[in-house]
Amino acid sequence: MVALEWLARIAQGLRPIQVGAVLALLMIFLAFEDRRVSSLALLVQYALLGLLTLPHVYAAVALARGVLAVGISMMLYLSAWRAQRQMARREREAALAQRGRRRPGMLFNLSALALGGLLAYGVWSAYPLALVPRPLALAGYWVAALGLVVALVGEGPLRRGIGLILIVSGCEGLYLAVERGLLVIGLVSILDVMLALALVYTTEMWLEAQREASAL
Amino acid sequence: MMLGLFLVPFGVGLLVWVLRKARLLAAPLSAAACMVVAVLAMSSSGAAPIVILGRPFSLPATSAAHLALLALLMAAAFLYAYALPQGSLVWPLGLVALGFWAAALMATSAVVAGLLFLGGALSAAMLVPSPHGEAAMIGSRTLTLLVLGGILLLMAAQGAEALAAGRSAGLPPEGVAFILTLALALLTGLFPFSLWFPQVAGEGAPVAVIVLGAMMSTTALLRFGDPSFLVAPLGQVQMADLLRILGMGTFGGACLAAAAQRRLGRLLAYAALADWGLILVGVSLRQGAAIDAAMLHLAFHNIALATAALASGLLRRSFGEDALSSLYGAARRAPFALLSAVAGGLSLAGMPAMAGFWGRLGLYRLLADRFSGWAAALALLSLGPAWGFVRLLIHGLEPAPLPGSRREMIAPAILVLLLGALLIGVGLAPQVLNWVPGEWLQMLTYRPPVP
Repeated sequence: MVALEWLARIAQGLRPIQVGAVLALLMIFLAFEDRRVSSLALLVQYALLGLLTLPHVYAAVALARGVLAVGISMMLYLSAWRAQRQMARREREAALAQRGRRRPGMLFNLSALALGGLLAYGVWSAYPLALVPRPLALAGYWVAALGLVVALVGEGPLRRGIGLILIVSGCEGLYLAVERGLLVIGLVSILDVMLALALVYTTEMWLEAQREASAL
Repeated sequence: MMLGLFLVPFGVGLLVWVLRKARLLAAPLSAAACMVVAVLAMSSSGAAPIVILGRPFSLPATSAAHLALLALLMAAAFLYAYALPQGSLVWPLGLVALGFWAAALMATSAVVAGLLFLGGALSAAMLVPSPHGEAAMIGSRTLTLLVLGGILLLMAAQGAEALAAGRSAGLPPEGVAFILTLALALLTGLFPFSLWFPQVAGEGAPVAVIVLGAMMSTTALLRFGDPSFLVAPLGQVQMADLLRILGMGTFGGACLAAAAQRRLGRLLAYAALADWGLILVGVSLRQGAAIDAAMLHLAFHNIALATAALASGLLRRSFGEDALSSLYGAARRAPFALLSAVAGGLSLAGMPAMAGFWGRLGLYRLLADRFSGWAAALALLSLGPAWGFVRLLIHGLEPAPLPGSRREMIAPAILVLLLGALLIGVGLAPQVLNWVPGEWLQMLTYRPPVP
């Protein structure tokens, strides 16, 4: 609990520029084509939003949500690892020019994500939320915008799903600053887990379908 | 007792998840849980609210009746899934979705209802992916749309709650109404967002079609679809206008699309969407009689959709695919399934001698009072889906079945035939509705204003 109080003090002292630096790092993580790196980005955003919402929720709730975030990130990382391995094998078998394809992909992702970030910054500057602290509002808008971009340009259920989780996380971050009801926070956490489960399940089915298609 | 409405589905859902490989246990247990929910729903209506973590939960009469009907349809679908396997998670996921949506109908707080609704939608979306064909990608797309729609729904619910409490919602009432209607359009597949449902019906399992097409849409309409959900009069007018436009657009577009379909799954989806559009038009009229007619028609719509979806699954199993051109001789190979698919489809199209006709007749008459030209155009357009199902019947009555086709499975076929017979029975003799206890019928149609 002492550690949480110390983290809450750090969160209260954070300025938008510092939050912006972490969000830029998040953007770089998300730009990678490798699904494992993208799923690590989830952990970064959970850490950032968790830290920023810490002063607004009960300590026990924050702790529970932290454990949940680590669990969800691990679950998606494992799924990403399996997906990446299978996709790499398929691409090797098909003798595709991997290196030539990856670089433009990452550049494209980075520019699309930067555009999303810029949009989020514009919305944050133009429509300040009265009840939400400015650094948290910036993080919420930015994460949701990055999620929208990833969901739109991402290929396959897992990458698109990571985008969905980012959108949901961004909106949750904004909402948890104003809502303290235990029922609502509990339901929001259950939805996080269910969304992650749905993504993992859909990805597994997709991988199975890919295997079936390549076996034919 | 009211607590049982969501504890039973969640508890049994967990149990059947453990027993999911033992179909012989999982199917009857799930069906029994649905029947318990139906009984509890009918007996919980009007009971004193319960409070969970400071939030009150109570079940309005109309919601109770529709929930009971949906639970009974789910029971039939779960038994059907024993004979025609649709993935081992169909029982737990279906029950969890039912539990979430029952709780959403009971939640007095709009935000809590929105969160519970989204929980049900996530469970339901997991019913779509399968390791065959394009189903996994369709599941992923469906999940994306449902999550985006769910977020919009939560935004609107938060706004509506703020407006009801006299606080600033950050948006004018018209803005909240717009977001709410957009969310409903995404979640229930209204024009122009109606593409996901035909894909699900084309590739997904029949239970997924019933859960997403009947259960989810009905829950969304009952809890969030009535314009009086918004307290501000301006918001109500805006939402009613938008619902009417979207409903008519969905009806017209889906009727034309249905006439052009060559596959039974997609034909069924477009017929269901057209019927759904008309129900929303009825709700948007904001008259007591129109809402009563829409609510009664909603019950017929759900029975017809379930019947046609289950029958379509049987035909697909017998013939290996659902292209209308491949269903030659279905009357010999799968007569019960063919009859039920045609009865369900024609009921969705509102054709005479089917249950759906009586629901539609009331809606057309009320619509004609205000927009006579539009009512005539809508009645004419409904020939599109009807023509699709007549084509199915013509192909099915061909004397020689395609080589390689199999006989229908008798147990699920009888189950589906019972549903089909119900639609035809009510269509031929609507006076049988008088046998339904008066207070039940009133529960099905009467919709008290949402505070």
